[in-house]
Amino acid sequence: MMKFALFLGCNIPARVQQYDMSARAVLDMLNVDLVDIREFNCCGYPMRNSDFEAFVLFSARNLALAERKGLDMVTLCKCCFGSLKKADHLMKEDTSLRDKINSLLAKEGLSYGGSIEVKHFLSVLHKDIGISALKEKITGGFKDLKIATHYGCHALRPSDITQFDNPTAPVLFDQLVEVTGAKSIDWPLKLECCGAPLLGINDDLSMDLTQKKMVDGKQSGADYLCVACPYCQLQFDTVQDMMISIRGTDHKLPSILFPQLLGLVMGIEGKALGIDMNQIDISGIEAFLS
Amino acid sequence: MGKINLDRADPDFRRELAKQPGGDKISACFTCRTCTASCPIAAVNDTFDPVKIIRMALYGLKEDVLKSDFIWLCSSCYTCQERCPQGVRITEFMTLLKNLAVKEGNMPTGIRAQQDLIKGEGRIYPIDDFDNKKRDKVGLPPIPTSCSVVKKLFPSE
Repeated sequence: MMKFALFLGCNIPARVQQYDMSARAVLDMLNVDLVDIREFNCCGYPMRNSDFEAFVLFSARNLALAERKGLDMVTLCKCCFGSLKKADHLMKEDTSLRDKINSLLAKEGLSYGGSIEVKHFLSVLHKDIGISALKEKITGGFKDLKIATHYGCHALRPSDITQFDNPTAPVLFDQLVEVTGAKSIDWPLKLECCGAPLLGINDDLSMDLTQKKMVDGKQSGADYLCVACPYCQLQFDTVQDMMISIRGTDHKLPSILFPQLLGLVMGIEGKALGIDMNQIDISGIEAFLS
Repeated sequence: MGKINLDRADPDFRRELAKQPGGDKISACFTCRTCTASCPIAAVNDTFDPVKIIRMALYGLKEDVLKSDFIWLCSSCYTCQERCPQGVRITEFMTLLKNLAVKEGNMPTGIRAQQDLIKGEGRIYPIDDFDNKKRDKVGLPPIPTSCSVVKKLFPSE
């Protein structure tokens, strides 16, 4: 049985509970054992811009906690994933930084030796479990459903560190979406930023980026967006909803989290996947089930 | 911004940058503008232009860069860095500039608020008993409501 330490980060428990529920439900059916490490803190991502070493310290503390338990980590958030991968890389490559960080972690009896692997939820599904094993668990399928997959920046780039997929022509997420019977459409802005990192710094600019993606996805014929990151989901769900009142825009391109999409074709009930917990109603997607 | 005023230039700035991760390769930039052409922010905002920021830094316009609002508009999507033919780590460079700006006391209020929260609570969205009740209702395990150990980790505070 596969076993991972589940790294939730800050956003999911506070604001995107349905991601937590649906990912656990799906992984449970795939016989993946998840361990919750209560001592985990923020991945450090929000500190990168203000205090880089503090970011590495935060990230490395999480890595050290998982390593102490002898577990690889799985993250649901692309920004947590990118941050933990970056810190893991630095702790292996930059010896003076590693010594400094480990001497701080020593106050808690921790140190990070670089022996664990950090994976994103989508990679676990695609690489560790595999497309054919996934297909065996699928009981239904979508028909005539067109999905715009949104890859998320910090999984793809910088590719030398994240090692997620080909950064210019990725296929991993499209293949996973197509396992469900849905069609993953081509859309020009597929690999672009969702706008979330600028929320709170320049809200207008953040919404400009989101709006461009909405228009592009809709024009390309998508029925739904599909994401696997809480930041992207909040942007396409909560912020898209806010934009209706702030900007008068209404693109009606709702976003579904990938484990919600996958869970529906694995026969998991919508309620257990938190389908009713998204801000913008996605219950209509069940009509595409054949 | 019009003419460059070299009286305000600090010739040591590029050497200072070259010693730090992210600033170490900027002198390899040959101004091909692949970064700017790739940038989703530059596509919608006239004040943000990665190649210009690299040039300003190389010319030593330290104050103009570190006191600017535009360095904070980078969303760290890494598209420029991924595509740079010269291997300039542009996103890391932007991160370095933001870190240096913070050291000089220039940061947006949102960034400051995030930093205070994390250094205090260990999480950007602290969890309370109400959140845990909601988690319990849907069968999710509880999450600690405080992470005081984080304070111990910061040597200066």
